[in-house]
Amino acid sequence: MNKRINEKDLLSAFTNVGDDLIEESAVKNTQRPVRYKKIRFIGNAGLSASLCLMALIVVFSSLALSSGIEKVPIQSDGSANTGNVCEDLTKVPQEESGTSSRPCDTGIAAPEQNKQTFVPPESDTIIKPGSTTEDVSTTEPGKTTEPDATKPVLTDDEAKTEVPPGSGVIVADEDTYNNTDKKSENGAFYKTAAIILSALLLLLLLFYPFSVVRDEASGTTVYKSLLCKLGKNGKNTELTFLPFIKRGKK
Amino acid sequence: MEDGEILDLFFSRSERALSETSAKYGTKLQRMAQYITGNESDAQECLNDTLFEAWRRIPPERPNCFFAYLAKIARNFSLKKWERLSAKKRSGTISEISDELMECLPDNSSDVEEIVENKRLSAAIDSFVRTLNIEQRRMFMRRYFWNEPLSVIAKSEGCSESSLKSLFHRLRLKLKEKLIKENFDL
Repeated sequence: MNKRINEKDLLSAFTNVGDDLIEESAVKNTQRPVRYKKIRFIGNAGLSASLCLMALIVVFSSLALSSGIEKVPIQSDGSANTGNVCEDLTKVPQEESGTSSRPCDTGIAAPEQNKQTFVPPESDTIIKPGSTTEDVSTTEPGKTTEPDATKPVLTDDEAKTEVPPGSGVIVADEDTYNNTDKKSENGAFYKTAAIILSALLLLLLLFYPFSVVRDEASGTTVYKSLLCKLGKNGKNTELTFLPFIKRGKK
Repeated sequence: MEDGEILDLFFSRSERALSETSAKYGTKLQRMAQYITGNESDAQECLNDTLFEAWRRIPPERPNCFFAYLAKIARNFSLKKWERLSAKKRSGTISEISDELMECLPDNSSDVEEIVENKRLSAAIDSFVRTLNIEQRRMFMRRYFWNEPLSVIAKSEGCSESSLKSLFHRLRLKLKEKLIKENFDL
Protein backbone atom coordinates (compact mmCIF):
# COMPACT_ATOMS: atom_id res chain seq x y z
CA MET A 1 0.00 0.00 0.00
CA ASN A 2 2.81 2.35 0.94
CA LYS A 3 4.60 1.49 -2.24
CA ARG A 4 1.65 2.57 -4.35
CA ILE A 5 1.50 5.93 -2.55
CA ASN A 6 5.15 6.57 -3.22
CA GLU A 7 4.78 5.67 -6.84
CA LYS A 8 1.95 8.14 -7.10
CA ASP A 9 3.96 10.82 -5.36
CA LEU A 10 6.83 10.38 -7.69
CA LEU A 11 4.73 10.26 -10.81
CA SER A 12 2.86 13.35 -9.66
CA ALA A 13 6.16 15.03 -8.96
CA PHE A 14 7.15 14.47 -12.56
CA THR A 15 3.86 15.99 -13.61
CA ASN A 16 4.73 19.16 -11.75
CA VAL A 17 8.08 19.88 -13.36
CA GLY A 18 8.54 23.23 -15.05
CA ASP A 19 6.43 24.13 -18.06
CA ASP A 20 9.52 25.06 -20.02
CA LEU A 21 10.91 21.55 -19.62
CA ILE A 22 7.67 20.06 -20.89
CA GLU A 23 7.56 22.43 -23.85
CA GLU A 24 11.20 21.80 -24.64
CA SER A 25 10.92 18.03 -24.65
CA ALA A 26 7.71 18.09 -26.65
CA VAL A 27 8.95 20.57 -29.25
CA LYS A 28 12.26 18.79 -29.64
CA ASN A 29 10.38 15.59 -30.01
CA THR A 30 8.67 16.82 -33.15
CA GLN A 31 11.60 18.80 -34.51
CA ARG A 32 14.25 16.22 -33.82
CA PRO A 33 15.81 15.16 -37.11
CA VAL A 34 15.42 11.50 -37.80
CA ARG A 35 18.82 9.89 -37.84
CA TYR A 36 19.61 6.43 -38.96
CA LYS A 37 22.58 4.41 -39.95
CA LYS A 38 22.38 4.54 -43.67
CA ILE A 39 24.88 1.87 -44.63
CA ARG A 40 25.16 -0.70 -41.93
CA PHE A 41 27.08 -3.29 -43.95
CA ILE A 42 30.12 -0.99 -44.14
CA GLY A 43 30.68 -1.49 -40.46
CA ASN A 44 30.33 -5.24 -40.80
CA ALA A 45 32.76 -5.33 -43.71
CA GLY A 46 35.30 -3.36 -41.70
CA LEU A 47 34.88 -5.71 -38.80
CA SER A 48 35.31 -8.76 -41.02
CA ALA A 49 38.41 -7.27 -42.61
CA SER A 50 39.86 -6.52 -39.19
CA LEU A 51 39.26 -10.07 -38.02
CA CYS A 52 40.83 -11.49 -41.19
CA LEU A 53 43.87 -9.28 -40.77
CA MET A 54 44.19 -10.30 -37.14
CA ALA A 55 44.05 -13.97 -38.11
CA LEU A 56 46.69 -13.45 -40.81
CA ILE A 57 48.92 -11.60 -38.37
CA VAL A 58 48.67 -14.45 -35.92
CA VAL A 59 49.51 -17.00 -38.65
CA PHE A 60 52.47 -15.05 -40.00
CA SER A 61 53.78 -14.27 -36.55
CA SER A 62 53.72 -17.91 -35.55
CA LEU A 63 55.38 -18.90 -38.84
CA ALA A 64 58.02 -16.25 -38.32
CA LEU A 65 58.65 -17.50 -34.82
CA SER A 66 58.87 -21.11 -35.89
CA SER A 67 61.16 -20.59 -38.87
CA GLY A 68 62.95 -17.37 -38.18
CA ILE A 69 64.52 -18.18 -34.82
CA GLU A 70 68.21 -19.03 -34.49
CA LYS A 71 68.82 -22.61 -35.33
CA VAL A 72 70.14 -24.96 -32.70
CA PRO A 73 73.48 -26.14 -34.03
CA ILE A 74 73.85 -29.83 -34.48
CA GLN A 75 77.20 -31.03 -33.31
CA SER A 76 79.35 -33.61 -34.90
CA ASP A 77 78.30 -36.24 -32.41
CA GLY A 78 74.70 -35.71 -33.42
CA SER A 79 73.59 -33.99 -30.21
CA ALA A 80 72.08 -30.54 -30.10
CA ASN A 81 74.17 -27.72 -28.74
CA THR A 82 71.73 -26.15 -26.38
CA GLY A 83 74.05 -23.45 -25.20
CA ASN A 84 73.68 -24.44 -21.59
CA VAL A 85 76.36 -23.22 -19.26
CA CYS A 86 78.75 -25.72 -17.94
CA GLU A 87 78.30 -25.16 -14.28
CA ASP A 88 81.33 -26.86 -12.90
CA LEU A 89 84.24 -26.73 -15.27
CA THR A 90 86.51 -28.41 -12.81
CA LYS A 91 84.65 -31.61 -13.49
CA VAL A 92 86.12 -31.84 -16.96
CA PRO A 93 88.34 -34.91 -16.85
CA GLN A 94 92.00 -33.91 -16.76
CA GLU A 95 93.15 -36.56 -19.17
CA GLU A 96 90.65 -35.32 -21.74
CA SER A 97 91.15 -31.62 -21.23
CA GLY A 98 94.63 -31.65 -22.66
CA THR A 99 93.70 -33.47 -25.79
CA SER A 100 90.55 -31.56 -26.35
CA SER A 101 88.75 -34.77 -27.13
CA ARG A 102 86.05 -34.06 -24.56
CA PRO A 103 85.69 -30.37 -24.08
CA CYS A 104 82.86 -28.88 -22.16
CA ASP A 105 80.12 -29.42 -24.69
CA THR A 106 77.72 -26.91 -23.39
CA GLY A 107 78.78 -23.58 -24.52
CA ILE A 108 81.09 -21.32 -22.53
CA ALA A 109 84.75 -20.71 -22.55
CA ALA A 110 86.62 -23.52 -20.92
CA PRO A 111 89.43 -23.19 -18.38
CA GLU A 112 92.67 -21.58 -19.52
CA GLN A 113 94.41 -24.80 -20.48
CA ASN A 114 91.53 -25.82 -22.69
CA LYS A 115 90.93 -22.51 -24.43
CA GLN A 116 93.49 -23.05 -27.14
CA THR A 117 91.87 -26.24 -28.26
CA PHE A 118 88.23 -25.26 -28.02
CA VAL A 119 86.17 -23.50 -30.60
CA PRO A 120 83.61 -21.52 -28.65
CA PRO A 121 80.22 -22.91 -29.57
CA GLU A 122 78.66 -19.46 -29.85
CA SER A 123 80.89 -18.88 -32.85
CA ASP A 124 80.15 -22.13 -34.55
CA THR A 125 82.19 -22.83 -37.59
CA ILE A 126 80.33 -24.18 -40.56
CA ILE A 127 82.31 -26.43 -42.82
CA LYS A 128 81.07 -26.60 -46.32
CA PRO A 129 81.25 -29.92 -48.09
CA GLY A 130 84.50 -30.20 -49.88
CA SER A 131 86.60 -28.48 -47.24
CA THR A 132 89.95 -29.96 -46.33
CA THR A 133 91.25 -30.95 -42.95
CA GLU A 134 93.63 -28.03 -43.17
CA ASP A 135 90.69 -25.71 -43.66
CA VAL A 136 89.13 -26.99 -40.50
CA SER A 137 92.25 -26.73 -38.42
CA THR A 138 93.15 -23.20 -39.60
CA THR A 139 89.70 -21.72 -39.57
CA GLU A 140 89.09 -19.08 -37.01
CA PRO A 141 85.94 -19.36 -34.95
CA GLY A 142 82.97 -17.82 -36.61
CA LYS A 143 84.31 -18.09 -40.14
CA THR A 144 82.98 -20.22 -42.92
CA THR A 145 85.47 -22.32 -44.75
CA GLU A 146 85.56 -22.28 -48.51
CA PRO A 147 86.54 -25.32 -50.57
CA ASP A 148 90.10 -25.19 -51.81
CA ALA A 149 90.52 -27.03 -55.09
CA THR A 150 94.27 -27.48 -54.60
CA LYS A 151 93.90 -29.48 -51.43
CA PRO A 152 92.53 -32.95 -50.84
CA VAL A 153 88.86 -33.11 -50.23
CA LEU A 154 87.66 -33.98 -46.77
CA THR A 155 84.82 -36.43 -46.87
CA ASP A 156 81.97 -36.31 -44.42
CA ASP A 157 83.27 -39.40 -42.65
CA GLU A 158 86.71 -37.88 -42.33
CA ALA A 159 85.27 -34.69 -41.07
CA LYS A 160 83.41 -36.56 -38.39
CA THR A 161 86.57 -38.26 -37.24
CA GLU A 162 88.86 -35.29 -37.58
CA VAL A 163 86.73 -32.67 -35.95
CA PRO A 164 86.81 -33.07 -32.20
CA PRO A 165 83.40 -34.12 -30.96
CA GLY A 166 81.61 -31.44 -29.00
CA SER A 167 83.97 -28.72 -30.10
CA GLY A 168 81.13 -26.68 -31.45
CA VAL A 169 82.11 -27.23 -35.04
CA ILE A 170 79.22 -28.11 -37.27
CA VAL A 171 79.72 -30.49 -40.06
CA ALA A 172 76.90 -29.63 -42.40
CA ASP A 173 76.02 -31.43 -45.53
CA GLU A 174 74.85 -29.38 -48.50
CA ASP A 175 71.13 -29.93 -47.86
CA THR A 176 71.36 -28.77 -44.27
CA TYR A 177 73.41 -25.75 -45.31
CA ASN A 178 70.95 -24.70 -47.99
CA ASN A 179 67.96 -25.48 -45.80
CA THR A 180 69.27 -23.20 -43.09
CA ASP A 181 69.50 -20.32 -45.52
CA LYS A 182 66.02 -21.00 -46.90
CA LYS A 183 64.42 -21.08 -43.46
CA SER A 184 66.08 -17.84 -42.51
CA GLU A 185 64.71 -16.24 -45.65
CA ASN A 186 61.22 -17.56 -44.91
CA GLY A 187 61.41 -16.28 -41.37
CA ALA A 188 62.33 -12.82 -42.56
CA PHE A 189 59.50 -12.91 -45.09
CA TYR A 190 56.90 -13.93 -42.51
CA LYS A 191 58.16 -11.33 -40.11
CA THR A 192 57.88 -8.59 -42.74
CA ALA A 193 54.41 -9.78 -43.73
CA ALA A 194 53.25 -9.72 -40.11
CA ILE A 195 54.56 -6.19 -39.65
CA ILE A 196 52.87 -4.95 -42.84
CA LEU A 197 49.58 -6.59 -41.89
CA SER A 198 49.77 -5.07 -38.42
CA ALA A 199 50.23 -1.65 -39.96
CA LEU A 200 47.26 -2.27 -42.26
CA LEU A 201 45.12 -3.34 -39.32
CA LEU A 202 46.06 -0.22 -37.40
CA LEU A 203 45.18 1.99 -40.36
CA LEU A 204 41.91 0.16 -40.85
CA LEU A 205 40.90 0.54 -37.23
CA LEU A 206 41.82 4.21 -37.16
CA PHE A 207 40.34 5.36 -40.44
CA TYR A 208 37.62 2.92 -41.42
CA PRO A 209 34.15 4.55 -41.34
CA PHE A 210 32.46 2.04 -39.10
CA SER A 211 29.58 4.41 -38.55
CA VAL A 212 27.79 6.10 -41.44
CA VAL A 213 24.95 8.32 -40.30
CA ARG A 214 22.67 10.44 -42.40
CA ASP A 215 21.08 13.48 -40.81
CA GLU A 216 17.84 13.90 -42.66
CA ALA A 217 17.29 17.45 -41.44
CA SER A 218 20.54 18.89 -42.74
CA GLY A 219 21.04 16.37 -45.52
CA THR A 220 24.51 15.62 -44.22
CA THR A 221 26.09 12.22 -44.37
CA VAL A 222 28.66 11.76 -41.66
CA TYR A 223 31.30 9.05 -41.93
CA LYS A 224 32.82 8.42 -38.53
CA SER A 225 36.01 6.53 -37.95
CA LEU A 226 37.93 6.22 -34.73
CA LEU A 227 40.33 8.98 -35.67
CA CYS A 228 38.35 11.31 -37.86
CA LYS A 229 34.92 12.34 -39.00
CA LEU A 230 33.96 13.21 -42.54
CA GLY A 231 30.77 15.16 -43.12
CA LYS A 232 29.49 15.45 -46.69
CA ASN A 233 26.72 17.89 -47.39
CA GLY A 234 26.41 17.93 -51.17
CA LYS A 235 28.66 20.91 -51.82
CA ASN A 236 30.66 21.01 -48.64
CA THR A 237 32.91 18.34 -47.23
CA GLU A 238 34.28 18.76 -43.78
CA LEU A 239 36.98 16.57 -42.30
CA THR A 240 37.48 16.66 -38.56
CA PHE A 241 40.32 14.81 -36.90
CA LEU A 242 40.41 13.37 -33.44
CA PRO A 243 36.81 14.08 -32.42
CA PHE A 244 37.25 12.04 -29.22
CA ILE A 245 40.06 14.33 -28.05
CA LYS A 246 37.83 17.33 -28.61
CA ARG A 247 35.09 15.67 -26.64
CA GLY A 248 37.44 14.95 -23.84
CA LYS A 249 38.51 18.55 -23.55
CA LYS A 250 34.98 19.80 -22.94
CA MET B 1 -3.75 28.56 -34.87
CA GLU B 2 -1.61 30.18 -32.21
CA ASP B 3 -2.11 29.36 -28.53
CA GLY B 4 -3.19 32.95 -27.79
CA GLU B 5 -5.99 32.73 -30.33
CA ILE B 6 -7.19 29.41 -28.94
CA LEU B 7 -7.22 30.89 -25.44
CA ASP B 8 -9.23 33.82 -26.76
CA LEU B 9 -11.76 31.33 -28.07
CA PHE B 10 -11.90 29.76 -24.61
CA PHE B 11 -12.48 33.14 -23.08
CA SER B 12 -15.23 33.91 -25.56
CA ARG B 13 -16.75 30.51 -24.67
CA SER B 14 -16.62 29.37 -28.26
CA GLU B 15 -16.85 25.60 -28.68
CA ARG B 16 -14.44 25.96 -31.58
CA ALA B 17 -11.72 26.28 -28.91
CA LEU B 18 -12.11 22.56 -28.14
CA SER B 19 -11.85 21.44 -31.76
CA GLU B 20 -8.85 23.69 -32.37
CA THR B 21 -7.14 22.43 -29.23
CA SER B 22 -7.84 18.85 -30.19
CA ALA B 23 -6.56 19.42 -33.71
CA LYS B 24 -3.35 21.03 -32.50
CA TYR B 25 -2.45 18.97 -29.43
CA GLY B 26 -4.90 16.05 -29.42
CA THR B 27 -2.55 13.54 -31.01
CA LYS B 28 0.32 14.18 -28.62
CA LEU B 29 -1.89 14.18 -25.55
CA GLN B 30 -3.71 11.03 -26.58
CA ARG B 31 -0.43 9.26 -27.34
CA MET B 32 0.85 10.10 -23.88
CA ALA B 33 -2.39 8.91 -22.32
CA GLN B 34 -2.12 5.68 -24.28
CA TYR B 35 1.44 5.12 -23.09
CA ILE B 36 0.22 5.50 -19.52
CA THR B 37 -3.01 3.55 -19.66
CA GLY B 38 -1.95 1.09 -22.32
CA ASN B 39 -5.39 1.30 -23.84
CA GLU B 40 -6.62 3.32 -26.81
CA SER B 41 -10.18 3.80 -25.64
CA ASP B 42 -9.03 4.88 -22.16
CA ALA B 43 -6.61 7.30 -23.81
CA GLN B 44 -9.44 8.79 -25.85
CA GLU B 45 -11.45 9.15 -22.68
CA CYS B 46 -8.54 10.91 -20.98
CA LEU B 47 -8.26 13.34 -23.88
CA ASN B 48 -11.95 14.18 -23.64
CA ASP B 49 -11.62 14.67 -19.88
CA THR B 50 -8.64 16.96 -20.47
CA LEU B 51 -10.53 19.14 -22.93
CA PHE B 52 -13.52 19.32 -20.61
CA GLU B 53 -11.27 20.25 -17.67
CA ALA B 54 -9.60 22.97 -19.75
CA TRP B 55 -13.03 24.28 -20.72
CA ARG B 56 -13.99 24.33 -17.06
CA ARG B 57 -10.82 26.12 -15.86
CA ILE B 58 -10.37 28.65 -18.67
CA PRO B 59 -11.43 31.26 -17.83
CA PRO B 60 -10.55 32.48 -15.22
CA GLU B 61 -7.14 30.84 -15.65
CA ARG B 62 -5.01 31.91 -18.58
CA PRO B 63 -1.94 29.67 -18.76
CA ASN B 64 1.33 31.00 -20.09
CA CYS B 65 2.30 27.66 -21.63
CA PHE B 66 -0.94 26.27 -22.94
CA PHE B 67 0.50 23.01 -24.17
CA ALA B 68 2.31 22.26 -20.89
CA TYR B 69 -0.88 23.15 -19.05
CA LEU B 70 -2.89 20.68 -21.11
CA ALA B 71 -0.16 18.05 -20.82
CA LYS B 72 -0.24 18.24 -17.04
CA ILE B 73 -4.02 17.89 -16.96
CA ALA B 74 -3.90 14.99 -19.39
CA ARG B 75 -1.17 13.31 -17.41
CA ASN B 76 -3.10 13.62 -14.18
CA PHE B 77 -6.20 12.11 -15.75
CA SER B 78 -4.15 9.35 -17.31
CA LEU B 79 -2.48 8.52 -14.01
CA LYS B 80 -5.84 8.38 -12.28
CA LYS B 81 -7.14 6.09 -14.97
CA TRP B 82 -4.02 3.96 -14.68
CA GLU B 83 -4.48 3.70 -10.92
CA ARG B 84 -7.97 2.40 -11.40
CA LEU B 85 -6.78 -0.03 -14.02
CA SER B 86 -3.81 -1.15 -11.99
CA ALA B 87 -6.04 -2.01 -9.08
CA LYS B 88 -7.14 -4.88 -11.29
CA LYS B 89 -4.00 -5.51 -13.31
CA ARG B 90 -0.71 -3.71 -13.77
CA SER B 91 -0.19 -2.94 -17.43
CA GLY B 92 1.07 -0.35 -19.87
CA THR B 93 4.36 1.49 -20.15
CA ILE B 94 3.67 3.41 -16.97
CA SER B 95 3.94 0.25 -14.89
CA GLU B 96 7.37 -0.38 -16.31
CA ILE B 97 8.40 3.24 -15.71
CA SER B 98 6.98 3.16 -12.22
CA ASP B 99 9.07 0.10 -11.40
CA GLU B 100 12.17 1.84 -12.75
CA LEU B 101 11.53 4.91 -10.66
CA MET B 102 11.14 2.81 -7.53
CA GLU B 103 14.95 2.49 -7.59
CA CYS B 104 15.32 6.13 -6.63
CA LEU B 105 12.38 6.39 -4.29
CA PRO B 106 12.81 7.09 -0.62
CA ASP B 107 11.98 4.29 1.75
CA ASN B 108 8.38 3.30 2.23
CA SER B 109 8.26 3.65 5.98
CA SER B 110 5.48 5.82 7.37
CA ASP B 111 7.98 8.21 9.02
CA VAL B 112 9.60 9.01 5.71
CA GLU B 113 6.24 9.37 4.08
CA GLU B 114 5.50 12.21 6.42
CA ILE B 115 8.74 13.93 5.52
CA VAL B 116 8.37 13.62 1.82
CA GLU B 117 6.14 16.32 0.49
CA ASN B 118 4.99 16.32 -3.02
CA LYS B 119 6.08 19.84 -3.75
CA ARG B 120 9.55 19.26 -2.37
CA LEU B 121 9.89 16.16 -4.44
CA SER B 122 8.72 18.02 -7.53
CA ALA B 123 11.22 20.79 -6.91
CA ALA B 124 14.02 18.28 -6.40
CA ILE B 125 13.19 16.49 -9.62
CA ASP B 126 12.81 19.75 -11.48
CA SER B 127 16.22 20.98 -10.35
CA PHE B 128 17.76 17.61 -11.13
CA VAL B 129 16.40 17.63 -14.68
CA ARG B 130 17.81 21.13 -15.18
CA THR B 131 21.31 19.92 -14.29
CA LEU B 132 21.30 17.51 -17.24
CA ASN B 133 22.56 18.47 -20.66
CA ILE B 134 19.98 19.17 -23.32
CA GLU B 135 20.12 15.73 -24.92
CA GLN B 136 19.82 13.89 -21.63
CA ARG B 137 17.12 16.26 -20.43
CA ARG B 138 15.03 15.71 -23.52
CA MET B 139 15.36 11.94 -23.34
CA PHE B 140 14.71 11.88 -19.59
CA MET B 141 11.56 13.95 -20.01
CA ARG B 142 10.41 11.85 -22.92
CA ARG B 143 10.75 8.77 -20.81
CA TYR B 144 9.46 9.94 -17.44
CA PHE B 145 7.05 12.71 -18.32
CA TRP B 146 5.74 11.66 -21.72
CA ASN B 147 6.13 7.99 -20.81
CA GLU B 148 7.40 7.02 -24.21
CA PRO B 149 8.62 3.45 -24.65
CA LEU B 150 12.35 2.91 -25.05
CA SER B 151 11.92 1.66 -28.61
CA VAL B 152 10.23 4.91 -29.68
CA ILE B 153 12.88 7.11 -28.06
CA ALA B 154 15.71 5.01 -29.44
CA LYS B 155 14.33 5.17 -32.97
CA SER B 156 13.87 8.92 -33.04
CA GLU B 157 17.13 9.69 -31.21
CA GLY B 158 19.17 7.37 -33.42
CA CYS B 159 20.57 5.21 -30.65
CA SER B 160 20.10 1.69 -29.39
CA GLU B 161 17.69 0.63 -26.66
CA SER B 162 20.52 -0.84 -24.62
CA SER B 163 22.42 2.44 -24.61
CA LEU B 164 19.24 4.21 -23.54
CA LYS B 165 18.71 1.71 -20.76
CA SER B 166 22.20 2.29 -19.43
CA LEU B 167 21.77 6.06 -19.75
CA PHE B 168 18.52 6.01 -17.79
CA HIS B 169 20.06 3.71 -15.22
CA ARG B 170 22.88 6.19 -14.65
CA LEU B 171 20.44 9.09 -14.48
CA ARG B 172 18.24 7.29 -11.97
CA LEU B 173 21.27 6.67 -9.80
CA LYS B 174 22.13 10.37 -9.98
CA LEU B 175 18.56 11.27 -9.07
CA LYS B 176 18.71 8.89 -6.15
CA GLU B 177 21.92 10.55 -4.94
CA LYS B 178 20.27 13.93 -5.23
CA LEU B 179 17.22 12.83 -3.27
CA ILE B 180 19.46 11.48 -0.54
CA LYS B 181 21.37 14.75 -0.43
CA GLU B 182 18.11 16.63 -0.07
CA ASN B 183 17.18 14.58 2.97
CA PHE B 184 14.86 12.15 1.34
CA ASP B 185 15.99 9.28 3.52
CA LEU B 186 16.52 5.84 2.18
